[in-house]
Amino acid sequence: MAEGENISGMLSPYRALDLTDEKGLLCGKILGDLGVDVIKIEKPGGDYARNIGPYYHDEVDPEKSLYWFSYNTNKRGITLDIEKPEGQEIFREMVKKVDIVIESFPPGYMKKLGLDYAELEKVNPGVIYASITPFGQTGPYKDFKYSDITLYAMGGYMSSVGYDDRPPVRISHHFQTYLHGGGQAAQGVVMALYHREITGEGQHIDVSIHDSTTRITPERVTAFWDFNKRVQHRGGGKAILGRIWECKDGYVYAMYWGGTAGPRWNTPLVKWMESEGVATDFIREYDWETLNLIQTPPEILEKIAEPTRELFLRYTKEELLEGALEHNAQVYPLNSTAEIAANPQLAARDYWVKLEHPELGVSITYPGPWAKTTEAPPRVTHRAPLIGEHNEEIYTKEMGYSKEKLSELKRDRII
Amino acid sequence: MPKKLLEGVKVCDFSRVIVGPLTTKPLSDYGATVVRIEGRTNLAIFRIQAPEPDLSIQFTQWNTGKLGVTLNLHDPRGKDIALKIAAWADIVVENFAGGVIDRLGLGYEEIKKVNPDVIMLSSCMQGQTGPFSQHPGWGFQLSALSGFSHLTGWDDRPPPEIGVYTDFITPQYNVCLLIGALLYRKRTGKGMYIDTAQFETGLHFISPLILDYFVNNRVAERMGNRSYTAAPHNAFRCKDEARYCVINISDDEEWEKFCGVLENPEWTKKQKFSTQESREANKEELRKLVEQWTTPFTVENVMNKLSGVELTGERLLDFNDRQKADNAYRCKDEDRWCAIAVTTDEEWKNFCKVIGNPEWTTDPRFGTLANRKANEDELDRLVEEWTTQHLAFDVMNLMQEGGVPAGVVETGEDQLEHDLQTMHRGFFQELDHPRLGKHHAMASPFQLSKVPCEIERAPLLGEHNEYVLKEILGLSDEEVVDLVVNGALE
Repeated sequence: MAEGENISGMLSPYRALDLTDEKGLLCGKILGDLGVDVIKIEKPGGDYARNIGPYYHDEVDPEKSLYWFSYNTNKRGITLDIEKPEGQEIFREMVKKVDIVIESFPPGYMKKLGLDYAELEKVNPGVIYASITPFGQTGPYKDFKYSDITLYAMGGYMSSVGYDDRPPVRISHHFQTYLHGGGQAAQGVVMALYHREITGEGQHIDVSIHDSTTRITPERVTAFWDFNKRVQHRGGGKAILGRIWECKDGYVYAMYWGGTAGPRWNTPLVKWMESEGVATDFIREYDWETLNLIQTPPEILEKIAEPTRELFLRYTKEELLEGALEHNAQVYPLNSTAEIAANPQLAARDYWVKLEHPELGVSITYPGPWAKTTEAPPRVTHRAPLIGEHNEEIYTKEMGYSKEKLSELKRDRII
Repeated sequence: MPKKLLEGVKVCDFSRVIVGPLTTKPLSDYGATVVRIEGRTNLAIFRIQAPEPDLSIQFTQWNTGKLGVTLNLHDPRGKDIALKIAAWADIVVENFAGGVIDRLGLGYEEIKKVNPDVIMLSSCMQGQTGPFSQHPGWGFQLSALSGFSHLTGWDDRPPPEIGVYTDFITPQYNVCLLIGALLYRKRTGKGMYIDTAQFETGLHFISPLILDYFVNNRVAERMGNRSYTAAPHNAFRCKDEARYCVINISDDEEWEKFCGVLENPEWTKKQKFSTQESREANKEELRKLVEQWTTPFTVENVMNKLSGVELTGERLLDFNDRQKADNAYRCKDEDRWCAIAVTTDEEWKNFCKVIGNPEWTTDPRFGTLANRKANEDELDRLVEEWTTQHLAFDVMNLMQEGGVPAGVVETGEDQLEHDLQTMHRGFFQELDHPRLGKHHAMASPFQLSKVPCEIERAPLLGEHNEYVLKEILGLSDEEVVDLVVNGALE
């Protein structure tokens, strides 16, 4: 559809106040991309999450955090000290006119300030209030100290990843657990919005990052214990028929299937080897249904591995990606961020968006909308707010505070 | 009892494996009627990999509370029923490879003809358009494509296999889109088609590293468990824990098989082990010999070797179970780990106190974060000298009491038996499956204060054929019988 023809998002009628730190920023970003008017409230001077690197041109500066940039697009930003009574008053005033409040303070903190759900519900009975915490609002671990890696460890998936002569290892770096928490919170919020449309009532949402991270484990950790009383140990890299193969300039992923799935999924790769003249008689004639990665003897696995290695070592990741498409084989490069940036599929789908950063005098390329829709598409249109960027717009234009009052609030370090 | 949140929302679910099913799981768990369409002649991988389709463990995890229908979509009458279900639905979800649903004649354009304001979601690997749209793949490979594999592991080694990961990212966006679309339709009366890609949603989980490339031209590399802003920051080895496998050999036939697993060492041929009685009479000696074989292997290795010849090995769960303990053989100890992260000066002081302020902690090489980072290999070694003296849960609890972030690297056992917090929140709920018996499946990581998340077990293959066709679609007995006879209803 033509640009401008439909500027309304799926959630355009709603407004949210986002008080979260690095643990919850993704929630507001998802809502903002769907059209919610998200107002990021920071403490005067700016949020801690602005001190998370990497930084624009490696300049350590709260206005140049790429972490901050990533998860605050489409939000407007104001400063407000909710620890001061006057700040609390202003906050309550704002809550009257919003649908959603998102926070990630320690359990009990907002209650101490008189800003917990029970209090805000009195101000705005329909308010939806999401709390994102490491372990949830109640329970024996609720006050546990945490860090992304400790939450990741407790989430369980880590126990199954890594080499057996090294420690279990987390997936990626940069706060995966907090993103899972934020993503779960966003789902809670849209569900609560739906509930409110039907019943008129708001509610509290209690999100546990620990549960959000644990959610990825049944696939290879929890279910194996539950049904077989087995612990899945890490052991990557030792299997002869591993899934990560060396190629000319890095690694590619390709797996062999056994059982009835074997012939269907393995044949395209064998055909590719044939076309390259590396397929052996053995691999051409091998009965894939009999392949069992645990029981098949190592010498057979080696006979499968040998021509596979030969094929992959001939080419670069980029060449293998093209070849995979041509041969319909499930071979995928282990992309670096540079290769992701150059990926032809993402380019063909116009995935990337450029956002203006006037104060830096540049526009920066961002991961774009995460869905294509025929109506009300998600959009990524505005860079993250500067500290207090929308103070005037929101406090004076929208809330009607006078210029004098605004100066007073600034003087008293409320905003 | 409060009404379920999505009561009355109708979902036609063609989805397979994880992404699709995990998209519709929160919908069914919160009360939507989700009709999961499968086919006996076109089973998805989890059903195929199981000994029998209804014994798929994975299927039970992602399909709680859904209704199971089996249709042959390649049969025009089967397709016709699928279209009827799609016409009934508010939401249609599919995650075949791009283009497959269109070739089945069940694409958005077809469904829209029978259901003009339908909300339809296609969620494949790389999206419905572009040169790779129809390229088949699995979540495994998407971990590679979207950067997670490259970023995981150590810089001196190839990345370890990480399994599927984007499968757990995409559904979060999908659920927001589907409920968002329902709200939009309520306001405007308009349905929509939604196209999501695991590739594209996944990249949002490494946005800062992508921006680092675009603005600083820096390509992010593997850094193990390390952090730029904390040290110690790793998973540290704790005290190993003893593991035992219970092995029962009840007759000569089983003894023969067992000797085969042991690769028939000389001693197994001795007279004194040749009958059940003689083995019983010499059980202490036998025990030592068997244990010599089991101790180099993990209990899981031993269980695998035994199940390979249809013998059973069982992990000893309760050390007080004397009867079992009699036949329990010590296996390799299990290595246990606890993650510790020390970011601030205060946490460092707390950490030193918890480990008893050994002399090395006053060494200037470890006095500041910068120095700890510069000497991190040595630091990790010293930390492990302490952690290996303690059980993993003790390390976590001692650190927590002393004000240091720490968390056990939980195994499946820990998650279901030892994690007091997930238990407190009831995250894993117990269900009863007619074929697999009592088991657990996860509830919601977000809890809503006014509506419950009640999960029910996953359906058997075709379990709700009759209910869906008669009660939902209003077909007569004869029509249903016809569909069975001609194979459209599998």
